[in-house]
Amino acid sequence: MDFLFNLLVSGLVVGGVYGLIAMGFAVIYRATGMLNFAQGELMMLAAYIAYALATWMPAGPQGPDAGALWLVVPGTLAAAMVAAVLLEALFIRPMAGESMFAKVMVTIALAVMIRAGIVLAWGNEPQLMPRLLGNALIRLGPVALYTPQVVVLLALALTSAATWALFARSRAGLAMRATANDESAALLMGIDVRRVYTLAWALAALYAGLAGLACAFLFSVDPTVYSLGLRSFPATILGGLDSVLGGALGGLVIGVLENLAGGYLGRGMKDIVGFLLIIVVLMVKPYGLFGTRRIERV
Amino acid sequence: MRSGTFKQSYAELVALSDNPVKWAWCALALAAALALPALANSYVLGLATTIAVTAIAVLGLNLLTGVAGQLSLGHAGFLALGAYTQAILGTDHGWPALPALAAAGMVAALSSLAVGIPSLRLKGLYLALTTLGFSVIVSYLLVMFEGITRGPSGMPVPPLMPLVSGLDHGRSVYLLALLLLVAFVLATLNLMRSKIGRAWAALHEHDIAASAMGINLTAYKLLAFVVSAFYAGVAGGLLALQTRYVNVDTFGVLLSVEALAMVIVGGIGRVTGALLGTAFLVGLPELIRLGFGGTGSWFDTLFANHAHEVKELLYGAVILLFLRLEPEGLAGIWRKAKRFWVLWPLSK
Amino acid sequence: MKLTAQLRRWLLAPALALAAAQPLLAQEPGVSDDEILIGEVLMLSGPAAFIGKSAYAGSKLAAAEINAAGGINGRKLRVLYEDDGYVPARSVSAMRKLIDVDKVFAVTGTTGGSGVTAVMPVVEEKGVPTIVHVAPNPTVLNPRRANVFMVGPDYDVAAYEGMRYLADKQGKRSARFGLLYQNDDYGKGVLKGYQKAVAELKLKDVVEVPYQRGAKDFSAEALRLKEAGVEVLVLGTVVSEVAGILSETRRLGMDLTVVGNWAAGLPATIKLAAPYGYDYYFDDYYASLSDPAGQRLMDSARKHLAPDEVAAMSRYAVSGYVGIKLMADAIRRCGRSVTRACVIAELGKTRNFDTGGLSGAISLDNPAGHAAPPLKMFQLNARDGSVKALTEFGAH
Repeated sequence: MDFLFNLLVSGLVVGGVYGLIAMGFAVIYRATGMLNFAQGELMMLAAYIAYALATWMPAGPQGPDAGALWLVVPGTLAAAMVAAVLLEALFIRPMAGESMFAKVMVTIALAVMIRAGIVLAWGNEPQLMPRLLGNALIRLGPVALYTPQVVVLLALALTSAATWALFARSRAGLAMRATANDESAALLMGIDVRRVYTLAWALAALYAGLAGLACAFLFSVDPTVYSLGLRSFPATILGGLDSVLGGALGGLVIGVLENLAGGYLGRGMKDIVGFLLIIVVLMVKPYGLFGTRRIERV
Repeated sequence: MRSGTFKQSYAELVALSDNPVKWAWCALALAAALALPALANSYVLGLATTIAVTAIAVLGLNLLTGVAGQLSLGHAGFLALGAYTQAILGTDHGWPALPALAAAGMVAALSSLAVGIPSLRLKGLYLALTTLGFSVIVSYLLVMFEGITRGPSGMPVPPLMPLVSGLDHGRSVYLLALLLLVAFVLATLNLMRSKIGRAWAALHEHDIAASAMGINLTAYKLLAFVVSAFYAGVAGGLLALQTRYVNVDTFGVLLSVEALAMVIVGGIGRVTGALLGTAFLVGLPELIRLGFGGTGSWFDTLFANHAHEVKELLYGAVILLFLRLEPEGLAGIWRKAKRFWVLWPLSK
Repeated sequence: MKLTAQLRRWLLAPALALAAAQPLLAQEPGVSDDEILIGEVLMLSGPAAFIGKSAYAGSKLAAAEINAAGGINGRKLRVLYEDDGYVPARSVSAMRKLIDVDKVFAVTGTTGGSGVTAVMPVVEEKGVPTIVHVAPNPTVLNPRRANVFMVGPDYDVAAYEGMRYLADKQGKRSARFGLLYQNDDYGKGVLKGYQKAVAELKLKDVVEVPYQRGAKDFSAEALRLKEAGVEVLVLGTVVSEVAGILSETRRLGMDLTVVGNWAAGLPATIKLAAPYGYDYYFDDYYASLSDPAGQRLMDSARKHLAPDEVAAMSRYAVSGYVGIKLMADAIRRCGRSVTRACVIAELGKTRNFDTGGLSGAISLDNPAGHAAPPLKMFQLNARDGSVKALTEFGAH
């Protein structure tokens, strides 16, 4: 029983990271109808920026202390959002009106460039993120979690709640839903569609920034962490490409499923169980569990 | 400048081109390609072989994604299956290279049903991600079934018997790849002009309308997958013959992305596009190396220490430039250039 | 008619010139009157770049030292490096370029992972003297190629020796052993050694857990280790995975004895893993850079190399250094008439090559052309990240 419980909890923690990345995918798809293949790389960039900020701080005898968090967290999020807004303005906006292949290809090219740029700037070696949150263990019943792991779970919960509030209640969220629904109609109603796109990318960068911080604290900061983006695809699909909360839930499900597969099945099943699941789910529900079904006019 | 066409027989109608000048240029290009083994060293020949082999795979992807409109991010999976089939049949079962190559294509084609059938109900990005999942699963299975595939250590591939006696292996593989490329190009051109090609174009344009016009969506979607997977399987087999060694690592997601980049940079849906895109993107790292080989020391040190990353940056930048400035790709540039010279001095 | 005659004339002249030049062309590739060309294909970028860059630094240092001392019998040594980014297809084309276009005389290093296996047919075809040392791989020597030599024990030997040390010298013979290994040919090598040690030393093997290369989260793997009650953990991991698994086992409160091979002793690995407080053991057939011989190497490096190259040095730099020194010594023994056949013969006669304390004696004069130098045990002090040598080479 302990074994199962432990697997579930660790799965939720990893799922938290997947969920944050999936939420980023979803918010861009929701507002612009395209998938941002550079989301994993944005997350990696955020992780490296967090590392750079944390190590830039003048360090005490034990290394940077928790006070540095006041710089690292907002700094990373702000930097990620600025980067994303710039990318959107410089590379994505000019592609308006082009085919979806072209737009997707642009994000893929950006992903390649961001990856190369990060290695050029920071080198190939894995880096140790200063333990700003400490390494203390928090006991929750039969399970012990590191502080950063608990923080990730809390962060996902808070972010999901805030996102729900944003989309359901605020005008910005409403504008985004309207743009996704029908761009021309939204324009006619006076919504600045360009601002909506920028907002969508900024939000996606916010999620990516949180995911990057999580990744830096939970794992290490190295040039292969972008692969977490690849592993979040099943989470996005499971929740439905345009459902942000679905993405969060999908992430948790995939995280738990991967851990269960790793614990009980072993033999590398952990890595493909997510993709197997979505193939099965998509056969039954072609738009994911919570995605909106497209109604096409002929 | 030619204007108007006057056909007197059915053969003339069906012919690929009625322009003798065009045929002459094609013959010249073919002659140059055939003469390459005698003129170039083995490194350049290896590069040319890679271009020919990749072009076959890209032609297939072009049919699936460009013509039939099914975005596929999992083509590396078909290449992997083709390469491993070639290796397994050659090394463990003693098949000669050419029948193994045919089998490689068939295995990949059959396997494409595994992704084609679930994807019948899927559109756009859902389809793309399913194909991605397929290629990840294929890599996993290839490592899992160690008894057949030797798992992560990879497999050696027996060499090709020389096509013409006295020719070394590199040259033989090049000639075989060239021959197959020409065959596949002709097949593609004919496919695109036929009923199947038209059905695919209709499927791409608007599938519900196509279905309303009586086109069997299921059959044509599956056919698109099967045909393009066959191309990729043969390409994978040729790749295995060229490097004489297969390993799962070569066939990651990055390969699918590169293939897609070649389709798009070349020009979606065009055969010339596939060929030009492949030649350009495979040759790009070499061009970069040559172009910057002589410049100042700052770039030299940067390049020497970070060759891979600099190439990736330039690669991504080139793709971005193409997408931004010339969405029709290299084929579009080629067409515009041709039109410019044909209409000169009256061209815009 | 006239055309054919003219054509014949145009063809004849160059053909005659080519024939006249034949004696000059018959000279060995890569050897000229004043220099000898050696080629290396290394993973200078990509996931294993820290290994390739380190080997590059060591190799460059060795060449610089040799040239500073006057070269090899009056000829300078020039080493050409090609980057393959850890992709086997690129390893093959890089090797072809070095051999066919740059016409190197000999090859050392030869990359890592599957690239090593992939380039073997290429070097064999041209009969190029080759020393593999960065990533020892059993496929290099099996089948035996007359011109290929390898320095370094296979990973299975390293695992076996590490476990034997713990069983004999640290009283772990009756403990419960478990293995965490990467699911590729490197990890499979470690698995082989682990299983051999379990069978021959009669150890208790409770679980063998594989993981996929590039994995970040090891919670499931750690739980399986805990479930099985592992007391001694043998590692078939690379760099960040050591920290990954140890962070999870620490979280689960597991008190483990941990042993790995030289990958666990890399500065990058130690930096990441030390915070979790395990004083793990590792073995290596090269001296650590903090040993006296390693210190001497670093002093020389600071004289000959650029600062960022010195910073990239690790035990892989020692490997690169030894590789070039071995090849240079064989070339030197051939005197002024350096031919590939002579160098291959001399390499095959190498016995007890002295590396000045950087390793045990290296001998290639065996049927396999394989030097498996003796191993040395080290232990990490997790509190300050320092490394202590526990034994001498082969002394356990």
